[in-house]
Amino acid sequence: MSMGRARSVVLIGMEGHLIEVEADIGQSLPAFVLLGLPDAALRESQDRIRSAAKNTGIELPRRRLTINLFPASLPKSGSSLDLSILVAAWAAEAHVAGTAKVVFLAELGLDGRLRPVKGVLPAVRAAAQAGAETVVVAAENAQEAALVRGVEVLAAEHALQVASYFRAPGAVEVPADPAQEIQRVTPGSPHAEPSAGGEAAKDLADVRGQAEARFALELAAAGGHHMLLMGAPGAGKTMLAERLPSILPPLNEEESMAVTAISSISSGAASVTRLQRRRPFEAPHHSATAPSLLGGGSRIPGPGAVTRAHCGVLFLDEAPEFPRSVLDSLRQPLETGRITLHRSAGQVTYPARFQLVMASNPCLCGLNVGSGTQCSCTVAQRRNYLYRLSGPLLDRIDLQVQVERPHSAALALQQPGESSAEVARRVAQARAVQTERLAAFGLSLNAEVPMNLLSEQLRLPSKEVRALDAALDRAQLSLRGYVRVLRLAWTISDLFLKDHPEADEIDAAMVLRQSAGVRT
Amino acid sequence: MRAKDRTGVLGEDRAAEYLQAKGHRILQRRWRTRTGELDLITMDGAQLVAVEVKTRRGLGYGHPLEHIDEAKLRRIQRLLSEYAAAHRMWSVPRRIDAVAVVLKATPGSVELRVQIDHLQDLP
Repeated sequence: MSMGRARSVVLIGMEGHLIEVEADIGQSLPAFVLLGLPDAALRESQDRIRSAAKNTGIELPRRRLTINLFPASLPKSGSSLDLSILVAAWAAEAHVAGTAKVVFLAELGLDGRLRPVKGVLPAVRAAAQAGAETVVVAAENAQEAALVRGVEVLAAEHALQVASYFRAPGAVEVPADPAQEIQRVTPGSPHAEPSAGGEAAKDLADVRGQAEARFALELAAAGGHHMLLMGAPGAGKTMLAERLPSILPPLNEEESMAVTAISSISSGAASVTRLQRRRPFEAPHHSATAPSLLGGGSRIPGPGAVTRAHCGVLFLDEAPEFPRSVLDSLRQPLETGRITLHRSAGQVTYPARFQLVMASNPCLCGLNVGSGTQCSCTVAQRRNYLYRLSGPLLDRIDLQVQVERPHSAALALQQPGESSAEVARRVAQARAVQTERLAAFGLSLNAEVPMNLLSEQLRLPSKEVRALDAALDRAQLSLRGYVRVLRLAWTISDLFLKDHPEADEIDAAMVLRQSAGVRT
Repeated sequence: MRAKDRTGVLGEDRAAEYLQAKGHRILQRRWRTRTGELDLITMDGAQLVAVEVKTRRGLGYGHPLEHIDEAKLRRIQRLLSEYAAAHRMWSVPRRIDAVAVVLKATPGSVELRVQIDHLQDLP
C-alpha cells in the first residue's frame, strides 16, 4: 500500500477543525507536494519533516510524496501538522499502521524531537467533539491535552517513540530507546494535575480607608457592573481596580475551559498546565491600538485584550488618554459579549464578555477634587478632558465613583481593611440571590437586566421610586441614567439580602452614580 | 580518466547488468550527438527506453535521483526522439527511466556495495 492516513487539527480563531492528512507515494522523481491551502509556515514543514525522518532513522522514500490535507478548501497554517504529515508518510510506506483515526498535534525539530504547539486545549477539545479517541502530543503539551475529558492522550518526546508505538507488524525494527516509551496521560495520573490557584492575588486588606470606593468595588463585583473610578493622582484608583478579581467568584467549569483555551492560543506554547480558576485581569497601556485591544493580524486575526479579559476584568488606567476611537470600539463587545473580526481570508469570532473598569483623573492637572480650588485647569480644559470619554461609552458604565485621597485619620488607624475573602463571600451570596431571581429571564447578573424588565416584571412600588422619579422630572437624570440607578439599587439590596430595593438603596445608588460628577 | 567519470562508467555497468536481469535488451550505451548524450538505450518488451543513470559514492551530497530535474528530463525526451528518428523507430512507443546507483565502500574490503533504485516511465 502506498497510501497513508493520519489526523490533526487546525485552529481558526478559537474553533478547531479536524483535518485528515493523506500521504501518497508515487513512482516518480523525488518531490514533496503539499495540497490543501497550506500557508508559508506549513510549506516549510516539508524540510523539517524530511530532516526529522532522516535523523530518526526511518527515512522517507526517494519518491514523489503527495500530501493532501482534507478538507482542501479550509486555509491551514502553523506547524502543528508536522507530526501528522510525517506519520501519514510513514504509514504510506507501511512503517506504521493504525494511525488513520489518531490525532497528531506537534511540531518537529530537525532531530525528530517533538516540540510543543499553541492552542492544544481547544484543538484537543475540537478533536474530542469530532469523535477522535486518541491524541498524540509533545510531552510539554501533555497536561494541557489531558484537561479534555474522554480522550486518550499519548505524550511523546521524540518521533521515534511514535514510530515504535504505532509500528506496523512486519515493519523494520525501530531503533528506539526502550527506556523512553510513549506516555499515556489521563486526568487521574500524576502527570495531570488538577486545577489550583496561581500566584497569590492582591488582597483588598491592603486598602486602608476608602470606605465608599470599597463599597463601590463590592457592588461592581456583585452585580457585574462596569465601573469608572475618578480621583486625584495617588488616590488609589489602580490599587482598587487591581483587587477586583480577588473578590469575584471563581470561574465555573465552562468559563474556566473558555478562559484556559484563550490563554492557550494567546500565550506561548506549553504554558498551560491546568484549568484556570481565577478571573483574568487585563490592563493594557493607554497607547494601545484598536487591533491590540480587539484582536487583529493578517489572514486569520488573533485574539486581543478584550478576549484575554473574557470572564474577567478589562482595566483601562488613565482612560481619557486612550484614543477616543479605541475606546469607542469597545462598545460592540460590551453590548454583545463577543467580537467578530473580518478579514479577506475569513471571519473569526472570539468571546469577549468582560467587566470594564476605567480609571481617570478628574482633569488634566488631576486636582479638580472637592471644591477644586487647587486645580489650575481652565473650564474648557476640564470639559475637554472628560469629553474624551464618549457619551455612548459612559452610557454603559453603571457605576461612576469618586475615589477620595485617604485622610490622615483613616491612615493613622493602621487598621488593615476587610480581607478579599470576606468580601468575596458576600459577593458570592449576592450573586446567588440575583441568579435565583433572574434565571427565569435567562440572565444572571443585575448589570444585564434590560430596561423593559425593570419597568414590567421587576417594577418597584411607586413610593420607593418617588425620589428617582422626581430627579427624572427635574431633568437631573436621563432615562438611561434612571435605568442604571435602578440596576445598581437592585445590587445594593441583593448585597444586603433584601427582597427588593427601597428608598435607601435607591438614594445610595443615586449617590454612587453621580459622585464622580461626570455628565449623565 | 578522471575519478568522477570512472564512477559514472562503473555505475552504468551496474545499471546495465541490473536492467538486463530485469529483461531489458541493451541497444546502445552512451549514445552521443552534438547536443547531448543518452546513458543507456534499451528495449523493454516492445518499448524503447532511454535510461538516465545517476551514480554517487555515498549519500553525502543527497540521493542521485534528487539531481534529475525538469530540464534534464526534457533534454532526454528530445534526445530520445532524435534517436528514434535516426534509427527509423518513429512508431515504437517510448518512455524514460531513471536508475540511481549508490556505491558504498565496505570496510575492510575492496568490493563496493551497490544499491540500485529504478524508476520507470517518468513524465
